[in-house]
Amino acid sequence: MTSAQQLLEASPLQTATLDSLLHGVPGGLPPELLPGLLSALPMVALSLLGVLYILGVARAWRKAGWGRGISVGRASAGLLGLMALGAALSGPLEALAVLLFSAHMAQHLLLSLVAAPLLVLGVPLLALLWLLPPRFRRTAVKGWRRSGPIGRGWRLVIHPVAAWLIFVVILWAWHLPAAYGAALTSELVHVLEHLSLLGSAGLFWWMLFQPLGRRRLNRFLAPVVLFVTALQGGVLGAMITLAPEPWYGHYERVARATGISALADQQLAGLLMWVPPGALYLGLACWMLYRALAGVDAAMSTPNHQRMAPAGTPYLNSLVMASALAIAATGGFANAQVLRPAGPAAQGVSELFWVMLIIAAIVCVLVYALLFTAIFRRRIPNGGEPPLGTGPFVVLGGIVLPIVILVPLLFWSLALTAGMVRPTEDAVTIEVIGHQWWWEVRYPEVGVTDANEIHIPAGRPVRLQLTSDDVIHSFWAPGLQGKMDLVPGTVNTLWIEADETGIHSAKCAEFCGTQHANMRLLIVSEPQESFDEWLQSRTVPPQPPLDPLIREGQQVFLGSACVYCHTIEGTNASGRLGPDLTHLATRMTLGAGTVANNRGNLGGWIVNSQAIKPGNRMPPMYLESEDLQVLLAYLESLE
Amino acid sequence: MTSRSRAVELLHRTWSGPTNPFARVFMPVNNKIVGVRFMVTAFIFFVIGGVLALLMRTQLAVPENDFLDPELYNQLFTMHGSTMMFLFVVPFIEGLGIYFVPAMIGARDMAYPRLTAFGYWIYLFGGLLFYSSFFVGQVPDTGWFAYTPLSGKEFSPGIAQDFWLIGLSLTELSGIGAGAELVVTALKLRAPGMSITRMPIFVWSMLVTGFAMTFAFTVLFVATLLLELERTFGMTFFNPESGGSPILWQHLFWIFGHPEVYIMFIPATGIVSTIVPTFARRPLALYRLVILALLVTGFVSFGLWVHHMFTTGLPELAASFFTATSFMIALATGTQIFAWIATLWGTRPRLTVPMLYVLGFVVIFMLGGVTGVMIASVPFDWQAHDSFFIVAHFHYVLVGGVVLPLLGAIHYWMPKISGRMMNETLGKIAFWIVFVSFNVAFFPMHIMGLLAMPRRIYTYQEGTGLDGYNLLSTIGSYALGVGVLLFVIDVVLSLRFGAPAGRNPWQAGTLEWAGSSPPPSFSVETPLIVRHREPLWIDGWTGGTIDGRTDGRTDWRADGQDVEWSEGPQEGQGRREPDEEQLVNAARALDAGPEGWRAGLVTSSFGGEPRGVHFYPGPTLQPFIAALGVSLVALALLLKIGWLGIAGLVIAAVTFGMWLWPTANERDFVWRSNRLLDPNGKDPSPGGAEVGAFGAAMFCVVVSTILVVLLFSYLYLVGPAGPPQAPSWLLPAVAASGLVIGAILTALAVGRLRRGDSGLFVPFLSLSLLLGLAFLAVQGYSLLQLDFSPTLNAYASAFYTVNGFVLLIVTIGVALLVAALLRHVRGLLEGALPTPLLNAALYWYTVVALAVLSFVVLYLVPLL
Repeated sequence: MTSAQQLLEASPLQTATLDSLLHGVPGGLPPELLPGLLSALPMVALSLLGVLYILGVARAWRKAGWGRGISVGRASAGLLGLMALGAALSGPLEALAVLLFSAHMAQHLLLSLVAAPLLVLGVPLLALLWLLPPRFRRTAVKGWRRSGPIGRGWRLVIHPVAAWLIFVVILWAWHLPAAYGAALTSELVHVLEHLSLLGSAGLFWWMLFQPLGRRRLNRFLAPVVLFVTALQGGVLGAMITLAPEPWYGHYERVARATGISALADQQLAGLLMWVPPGALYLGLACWMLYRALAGVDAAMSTPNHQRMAPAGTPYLNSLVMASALAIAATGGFANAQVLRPAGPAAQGVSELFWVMLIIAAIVCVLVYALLFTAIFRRRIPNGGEPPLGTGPFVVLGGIVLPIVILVPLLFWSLALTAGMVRPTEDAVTIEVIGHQWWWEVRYPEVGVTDANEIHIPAGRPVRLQLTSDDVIHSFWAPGLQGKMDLVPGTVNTLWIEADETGIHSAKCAEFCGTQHANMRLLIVSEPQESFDEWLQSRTVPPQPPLDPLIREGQQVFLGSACVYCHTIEGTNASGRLGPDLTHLATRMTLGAGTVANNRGNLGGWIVNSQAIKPGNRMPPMYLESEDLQVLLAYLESLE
Repeated sequence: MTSRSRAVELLHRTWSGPTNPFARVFMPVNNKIVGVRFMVTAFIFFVIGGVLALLMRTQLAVPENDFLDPELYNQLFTMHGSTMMFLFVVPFIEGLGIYFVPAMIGARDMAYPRLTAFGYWIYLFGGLLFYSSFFVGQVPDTGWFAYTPLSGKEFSPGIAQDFWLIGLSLTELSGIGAGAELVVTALKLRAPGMSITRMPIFVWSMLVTGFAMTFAFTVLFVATLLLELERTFGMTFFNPESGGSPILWQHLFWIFGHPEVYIMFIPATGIVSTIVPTFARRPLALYRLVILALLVTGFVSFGLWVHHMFTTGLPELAASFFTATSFMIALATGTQIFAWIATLWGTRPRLTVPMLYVLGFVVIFMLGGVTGVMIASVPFDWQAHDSFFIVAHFHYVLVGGVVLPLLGAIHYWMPKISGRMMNETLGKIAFWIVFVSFNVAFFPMHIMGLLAMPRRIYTYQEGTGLDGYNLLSTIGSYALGVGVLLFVIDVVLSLRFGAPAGRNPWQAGTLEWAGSSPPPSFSVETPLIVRHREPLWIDGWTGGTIDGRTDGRTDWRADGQDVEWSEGPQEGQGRREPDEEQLVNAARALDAGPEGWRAGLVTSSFGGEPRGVHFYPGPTLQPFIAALGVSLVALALLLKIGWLGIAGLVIAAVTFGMWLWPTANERDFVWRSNRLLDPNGKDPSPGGAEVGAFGAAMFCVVVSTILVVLLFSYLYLVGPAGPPQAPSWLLPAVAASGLVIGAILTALAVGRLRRGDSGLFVPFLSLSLLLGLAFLAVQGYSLLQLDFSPTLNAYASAFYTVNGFVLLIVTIGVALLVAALLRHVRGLLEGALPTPLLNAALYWYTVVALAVLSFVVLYLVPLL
């Protein structure tokens, strides 16, 4: 067994060797043979390697005894690692990788997060060495001596900092658009990509697990390394997921063929890079940390745990916290707009809310009951241990129970989210532009502009294209749908649909400055025919007024500062800073829902809107009384 | 006995602060003084923030109220949120940590007392600057998250927003410093024998929070810096018209903002995990699992930020991922709650006031937790987001989850701080008023949110069903104010009329209760040797056994006959417990100095073995003056006065230089104590230097975090492929290679010096220094040659900002190298350790790595 010790000193670069076997040397072969050979080669090589591995392990066990030399766990890890490698390199993933970024990502993850660690644990080169005659074995081991150049080089690359850097730099480098593109177009580069990913991952896992030889990584440092690795992977994953455009032209081009949007594919790929590795690193870090803490405890001579019998303090009256507030609340819930849905999207959320509320109430009552039982119960069996014993009690209550509750909720939430984002052919498109503090509404199909009111056909999905002209606002029609922000420089899409005809209120939900509170709008949902009629009527430019009084009002309007900010179709007034007034008289409110639209309020608004909506952008207008009257008459005629 | 009292007398003279009134105000650096200052100041800000909230509630009591105009209302909620977050909770927690982390681990002070004091002064100046906005009528009014572009120059002209950015930047610096210092203190200054698995859970929580603070506040610092650059210097990061992104601000803000919640919440759970075992008279159940829960919470908190941004139009799939990570927090928190229940099970704890606050915490926090799970779900959040439902949720989490434990902690630890008990009856009345009125004030807000009342509105219309709930909430908030007032009265009365507390009034198990209350100026006389997680609960525990000067024997037992202690199995006796000989040496080294030497023991991070002796600086004006200098820079930035900024910069730089340059006393101390600890000079690196090295490492972490965040912003704005036209890379490449060569030379020089060969040290280090200077010159020149200005577009702004920061950190590195070289030339490194040199070298390697990374990202990647 001393040779095993020597072997432990040696640290073979088995993963890299293996991969070069898999891909062969494709450069020298005629091009037409290349694809066929390349696709066959991995499986052949892997099978061969598997057979050799099994033979090596068998030989080790025959010589050293069952499960020795290479433990049963390591042997199974090695075999599983080879299988994972096979699954990654040949099979549906390899074929899909050219078409889908996400499949390619899955392939890489399989290589570096499944195959690599399993192979590191399985120490295949150790198994292969067992196949050699003892003399060659010794010669082979000699090459890896600590003092030898290979041994020194190896120790350098598995130095925690070096191994980590190699792993991370290679990971990031391959995601640069240029490098990634090259890997997709040139088979050679692709092979190099897989090789380097597998190899660097092998180094990384070797550094963490150190399956052979002395551990050099502090056991508290290993979790830290994992945390940091999770962090950098998360950053890259986040960048890929949240990128507004596809990173790689190749997938954009193939996307036309596959019919899957390149951006959606990329988001999936980003999430694949973000979530499963993050969970793996984090879980492993927790486990290693727990072991490290236990290790320190075990090494200390005096144990921390003291068994104590419960103290016999006098009986305390049990007290149940009345959740009277919760009961009072149900009255309020009944009226809540959020929970009185008027459209399919809000309907789904409302159902989700009620279920979550019930679950939340049950969980709270359970925890309160346990807490008060813990404190007030008169006689406690089992020496003060909670039911099931302390460990199982905490794990079941604190971890298992939440998982059981939350995982179904997560999937429901996912499904609901997906259902709300549904491109439909049949949809009406309406553009909403946020201003401080009013809404501009456009119907791009017919070129109509309006303000602070949206007309929609009932029972038909409406695609709202949201953007902002100044700061961030948020569109919230609680009865129809959740919120979506209006971000300057970006267009966000929100789908709404009203089941019935009626008027729904909506408002700005993102703080947008002084008059955020008075930035409301109304959504009028009407039957399809009347919607069409209404829209049609808006496309016809209004006739010049005939009534002399009204004409005089028009002159007042056109002769005052109004025209700098407001538009009235059919006249010279074409300012865009304030709402379009072409159909002012049909609106229900003034000042984006601040006051009702009637003659008194309109006059007050014109003279000094600052008294009604302090801070709004419209300055006070100084008008003669007669001018104001004719102006009002004119404005009231704008139907 | 006489020798002992002489020793105590000497310690007193060494550790008691100055007596002259001026010095007593401006010079103290000791953790017990500065910690209390933090807590008192923070509590005053809490009361102010509460008054602002009452004004807001008054406005909202009835619909269409005109008690406040919209501008004032917007200013009030901005100030309220910012005050509670930045000026109350976090500084209060810092103060609690500064006072009690050393006390609970048996240390005499924090690791860097001057940094503690500096942190306090800039926090105070930042807070005062922030509130001075009221006096010039330029009050910030864009909310505590100050979304761009509303907070940009175009929509917030004037200097109101700058008050927010600059005032809070100072408190951010304070937070970064306190976070790093708490980490080093918890890891390096524990009592001998206190392995990391015997560390009190509160200290664990402060350790995790310290890390989180170091990272999170650094991110916020960068965010505020970028916005200030945009507002003051015309750069552009957040303006879509010149290639910026308003969403970038939200990313940066919430990468800070979400961990911020846990920076507040984790210490609160640490408090609960301290109070529960004390009154249950039983060690915390599943200590290790709870630690893991804290660590997972701290870590995952950095992966949750997007759940504040569900409505910004992010990809739905990505948003849903954050639902999953948000749920993970529920597991970690659930574990802790069940661990507390398991600890309490069947113990029939005394329902003292701290315990009531803990129970109130669990009851209220559960509600905040379940609503948190609800809003983590994307579709429901689309409805609840920015509505009063959210207001209700986070007040349940932050008031229920943080403020209640803090009030409990005050009641629990006040006897230690003041030596007097708070009144139980008054405390109970205050608790019940606070508990009930909190629910009256905030529960209706859930319903208001579901009734579609958005947050941050100064008025609402009649007939929307909101009237009754708002009125109820206002009534509750006034009652809450009364409860807090009663609490304050209780505190004040206790200072004068409270019953003497004695050593350990609650019969707790942790070290802060080992000595007298209030603690003596030197905290602990001789190192306390720890062999258990709750050392004071171990029958026959003695405070110190070194040198035969046994004293701190605790003569009480928790309810005598009812408690049975069983010493666990004794196998492996003495394996990792402190080495007696080392302890005796250490104690001698601690006592070896003449008057005025404040000394403390340094132990190993995991095992708690004595490693060396550490020198604590005494009272000094340096922190105050340095803080003054930094605040002058802030003021100059605010008022746009160039010369004032330069003056402040000079004052700060000179003071920091003096601060870092060791005094003759300190050098002598290090030399002598090392001789005592290691008489034969066998140990090449006695552990006393580890405190400095950890500090240097934390500084490197902060610097690296800043650069990574800047690069993240750059990549976010520019995209992975870089700008269409790559800047010329030749000169920067030359400059960066020079730096790399310099780093290698430094490594060679340091390596030789460590082996005792100082022959080539000066030439190698000088060369490295020159290469650093050459980098500054060449890189600076290459920037001047560029044909675009920093204000051109978002790419240019980000490009110049990264480069500017690299130039800054290289300049600091050069200064540190000069200092190291000077020390060497003047022979100050001889006889002692080359610690300052090693620290400078560590920083230099970090800077070189960061410079190379920036070079690759800024110059090479766009070439691809």
